[in-house]
Amino acid sequence: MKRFLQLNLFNFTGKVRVQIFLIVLAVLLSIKLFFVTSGTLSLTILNEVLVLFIFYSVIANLFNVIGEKTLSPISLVSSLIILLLINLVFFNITELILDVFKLNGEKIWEDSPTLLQIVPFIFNVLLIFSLSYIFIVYRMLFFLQQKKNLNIYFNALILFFILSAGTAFIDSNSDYEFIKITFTVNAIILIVINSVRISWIAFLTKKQKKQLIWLSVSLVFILSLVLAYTTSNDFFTGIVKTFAPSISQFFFLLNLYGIIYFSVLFFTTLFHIPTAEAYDRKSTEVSTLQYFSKMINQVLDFNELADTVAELAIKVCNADAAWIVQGKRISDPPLSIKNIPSALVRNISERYLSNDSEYSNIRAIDLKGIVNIENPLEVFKYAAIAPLKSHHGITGYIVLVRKSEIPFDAEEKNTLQTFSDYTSIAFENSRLLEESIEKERLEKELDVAREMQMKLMPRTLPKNEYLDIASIFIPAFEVGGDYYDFFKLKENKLGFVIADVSGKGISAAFIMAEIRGVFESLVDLLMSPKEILTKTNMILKRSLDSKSFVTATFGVFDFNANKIFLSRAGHCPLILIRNGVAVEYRFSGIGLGLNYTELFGNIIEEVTIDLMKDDLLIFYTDGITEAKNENLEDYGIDSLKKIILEEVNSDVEKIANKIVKEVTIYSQNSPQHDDITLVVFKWK
Amino acid sequence: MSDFNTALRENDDVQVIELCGYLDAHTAPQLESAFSDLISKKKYKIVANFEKLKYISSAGLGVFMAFIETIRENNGDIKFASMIPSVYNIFDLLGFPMLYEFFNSEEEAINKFKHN
Repeated sequence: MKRFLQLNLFNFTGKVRVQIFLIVLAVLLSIKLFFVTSGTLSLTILNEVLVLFIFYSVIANLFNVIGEKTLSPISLVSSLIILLLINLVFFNITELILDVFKLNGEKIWEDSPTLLQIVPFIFNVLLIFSLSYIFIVYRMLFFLQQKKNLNIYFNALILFFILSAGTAFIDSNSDYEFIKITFTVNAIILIVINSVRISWIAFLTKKQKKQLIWLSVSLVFILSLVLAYTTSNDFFTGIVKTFAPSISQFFFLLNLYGIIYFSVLFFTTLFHIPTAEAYDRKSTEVSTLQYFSKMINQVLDFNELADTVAELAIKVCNADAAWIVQGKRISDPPLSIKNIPSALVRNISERYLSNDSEYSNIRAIDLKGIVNIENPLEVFKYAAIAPLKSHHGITGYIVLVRKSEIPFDAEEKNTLQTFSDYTSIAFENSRLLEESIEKERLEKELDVAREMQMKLMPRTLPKNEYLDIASIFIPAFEVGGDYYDFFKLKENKLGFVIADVSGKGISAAFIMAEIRGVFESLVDLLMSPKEILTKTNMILKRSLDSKSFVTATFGVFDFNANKIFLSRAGHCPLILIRNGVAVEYRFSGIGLGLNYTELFGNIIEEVTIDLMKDDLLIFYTDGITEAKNENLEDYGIDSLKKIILEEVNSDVEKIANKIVKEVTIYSQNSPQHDDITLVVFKWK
Repeated sequence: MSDFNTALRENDDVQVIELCGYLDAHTAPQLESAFSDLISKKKYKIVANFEKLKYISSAGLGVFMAFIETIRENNGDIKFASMIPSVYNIFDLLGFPMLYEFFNSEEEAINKFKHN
């Protein structure tokens, strides 16, 4: 249809089209001023063609201006009324003007042309404009909310309008009158057919429907008035019909269309009124749920979500107040209390939610009038409680209360049920999201901790002529806090530490980094393991929390004296293998961080061991001795000693590998909870 | 790890807290809240009965360290009783026996409080 209207008058731009329109208008005016058109058939036909062309041109231009806008039906109908009223006034004014100049309507175009004819000419042109506007409004109303393709009906209507208007000049006494009548009857039939296709009423609100009833009654009334006025009035027949019969015919058809269309509209709307309220409610419900389901995916904050839920639930279920009970325990503070004092919320919750039985279905409750003490006029009469479910069971309730005498009906309960289902999903989503964010955060943290730990460990082992060294470190997933290191000291000495920080993850990694720094700086100042550990303990007082501690064994090899000086701060015993015998060294000393007084220094011993060729020294962390099998039994120090004795003649790498292999086999059915660190020394 | 739980008994003014199962990083908060409860009630004489405790991790040890200072400042103490050898070994390695009192039975621990 739009394309049909926008044939673009031979594809000219809007500006050119307006120019053409003005030229045609000028041609018509000159014909009117200098000829008596009703005289000859050819002039009459030329006159009609020009008029129809002007019609077409005006409609096309107007459609370009207003056709694109989406106006509400109410405003369209209102604009029609205003235009018609203006028309009526305009008719009267023109009639008055012509009366003043004694221009009798019937004869105006038949008398010799005079300059005064400009007045009725303008009248007709303006009439064309107003008719075009009316036509466009009818068309817009027709296509409003139309889901089926009904172009063909409306195009047929236009076609017969044109044919009927175009043949309107045929004299009513002529033999060819049947042509005019046929087209007109067809046009009227199409008017009736098109008028019953009103599909937009259902989408109006009740208020709009009421307005529409009044508007359509007024319109039918005004249109009838206009039609009666124009058919009976000499002035109008004279001024318009003799100017161009097509305008008069078009005017008649459009008025008829309006009367039929708005009569049908009036009755249809009238029949829609009783269901209007229900329709309104359903449509609010649907749009609210729609809005809500969109919200679910956008709102991540739990409390914000609960607030929205409470507000929407009040709206959809016609309640006065609402709140959400989270969790099964009534003692938990309710979320999102809306329009009700919290004392009453507690009161109602305790009364109706505190028994152990869960409400797996929605319940409507007669509150028997609970009065708001702060405002005694406020009495709550009814409540509806809907459970929030997840796959774990019931996770909470939505509670709605109402002040009016009407209990919650089945339909409202259904709505609340739907609503609580949506809410359950929303809450569950929000919870899962929070969990996954937390999990991701923890994983990131562990990545950082693991990287830190790896960087703290020595990258290469010291090489010298006195010792063979092998070490193995296997981190646990959660970062267990194991650490070992070597320190090259003056006077041909080598420092060594093995430590285990309690706790896991990033906090353990931080403490590792700190003790490494402490050892690093202390070994240059102090040479004795006992002093180093005692001093370290004091320094750690500042950074270790009361729950954390560190176990460590510190050793200093003196290559010149063939000795090792050792101190142990709560760490696993050292194993010395000499001449095929395993000895467990467990000298006195408490873990770092257990006590910050001088007691620590009093307890810790320093032991000196004279080293002999082929002595094996095994240092390890509890990741080895506390490795668990499927029965949760520890691997233990005895198994460790046994396996070392089996491999006693191998080189250090082989011994270390064998131990780790054995421990791995032992604990294969149980996850590794702690870091595993093993350092093996062999004295050459 | 499997379950862990605590049970509280009162013997005159001595609180006996029985530990049962596996005490590790996941179950330690349970013991922590038990100790917090006792401290908030100003009960500072505590005997921890380890008879049914099968395993303790460093996080479990940390719980005792966290509370001992407050308890001792209030003239109380935590005394350890009836440990199985593997659990005692863990305490022993760390040097706990130098800092805390360990008893073979709950009665001995309670008596120690009473005769002080």
